[in-house]
Amino acid sequence: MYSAQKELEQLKQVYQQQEIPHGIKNEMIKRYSLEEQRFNQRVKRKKQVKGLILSFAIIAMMFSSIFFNNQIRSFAEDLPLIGPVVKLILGKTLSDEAIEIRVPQISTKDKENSQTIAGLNKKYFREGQENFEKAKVQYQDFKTNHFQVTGDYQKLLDDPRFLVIERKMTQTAADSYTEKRYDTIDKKSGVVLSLPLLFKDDQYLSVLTNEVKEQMQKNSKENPDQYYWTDDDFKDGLIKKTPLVTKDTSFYINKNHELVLVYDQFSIAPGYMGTPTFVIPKEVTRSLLASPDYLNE
Amino acid sequence: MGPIFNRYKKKKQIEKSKNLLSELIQEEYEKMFRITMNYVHNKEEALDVMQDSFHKALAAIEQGKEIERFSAWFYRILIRTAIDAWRKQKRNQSETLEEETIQLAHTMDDSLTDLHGIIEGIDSPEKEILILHFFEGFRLKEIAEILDLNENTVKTKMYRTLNQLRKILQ
Repeated sequence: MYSAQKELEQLKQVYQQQEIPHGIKNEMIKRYSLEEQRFNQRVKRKKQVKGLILSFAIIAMMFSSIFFNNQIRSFAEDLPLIGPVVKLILGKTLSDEAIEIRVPQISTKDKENSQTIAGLNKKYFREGQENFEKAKVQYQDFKTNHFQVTGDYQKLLDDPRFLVIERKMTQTAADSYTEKRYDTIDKKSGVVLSLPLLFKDDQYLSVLTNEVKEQMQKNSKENPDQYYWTDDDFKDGLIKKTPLVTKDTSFYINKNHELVLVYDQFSIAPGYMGTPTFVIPKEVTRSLLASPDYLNE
Repeated sequence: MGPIFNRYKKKKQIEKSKNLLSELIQEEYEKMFRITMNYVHNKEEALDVMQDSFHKALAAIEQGKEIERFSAWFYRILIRTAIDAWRKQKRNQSETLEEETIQLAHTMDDSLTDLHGIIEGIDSPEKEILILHFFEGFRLKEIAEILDLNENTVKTKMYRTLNQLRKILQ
């Protein structure tokens, strides 16, 4: 048993009387605040992803949408729609306990046969019915009195050149989920537009992708509340990373005759961002269009 | 009602744990600093180690479970992180690091440098037991919690290490 009691005490003194650097407390608190911020951001992001899972069946994430299909059909060289008043009327209401879907029909004063309009009306009826069936199945799965599915429509644009019809499906359970689909009709040609039809070649895919990316960055920078999924979020595997612009990307032409791209809720951003839309400036589309003056006037 | 209440409970628990952590930092920042300095020897590294520990603690707090004996739980994280940093330092021993250590020896109190040298020469977990009990005054029971050891083991190792120390100091 060795003594050295005095030396031990000295050692203890050296240790306990060591100088604590000036300002260390504040620096430590600062470091802690930094981590707290990172924590809050993580929690926020996780909540959004969780909301995604709680909101609707996992199936929604395996396929690109739960309600609408992505089929596009177009009848070339159809009869023009100039002149006759185009009305959007309620074709049918499909309803059940927790479901109400209003199906539109395009009605023209001119009783001439327009294959395009007939085709669209058929599509609206068919998809309305399909969505109704899908909603009934989902209602079985959820079986709560907070579950509700509504489908509605509106005319977004009806000017001499374009007719734009928007259909919206909303499912409300714990949170709400909205899907929107658009039909843009060129009244002069009587044709339902599609991206491949609008653009001369595939270049539009990369150019529009860049444009959307730039706008996302700008939005996030100007307003930190605006958040779009990043590679980190895709890494978890809960959200599928899909190309930003494909031939099937939802779009419509707005009243300024600009191209507007629309994304499904949850597909590129958390649910609170809704269905993100991006207006593409005419300068960007001009050189890509199949006919350069197409969107003018 | 069930899942909603659980979510609320979890949220409250996370708040509580976060408050405990920030209070602990406010009250015991010196202790945390001294403990860390036994392993890394410079202020910036010590701050990094402590920040890393805050990060790990918050990540665990996120689980929303109640943390019993919060102080011991946190010090366990801090010590593990400090030991990891020390091991990394040892592995990356290079000229620049030696230079830093030489510079430090001039700025720091010589007796403190000697002290750190002595502590460094002791193996874990005896090193931790010595630091926590002899120098920082933690109770043996709490040390057993922090280091995940039997309390008797801690006691025995403590006396053995003290004896070792006495031998060195004589």
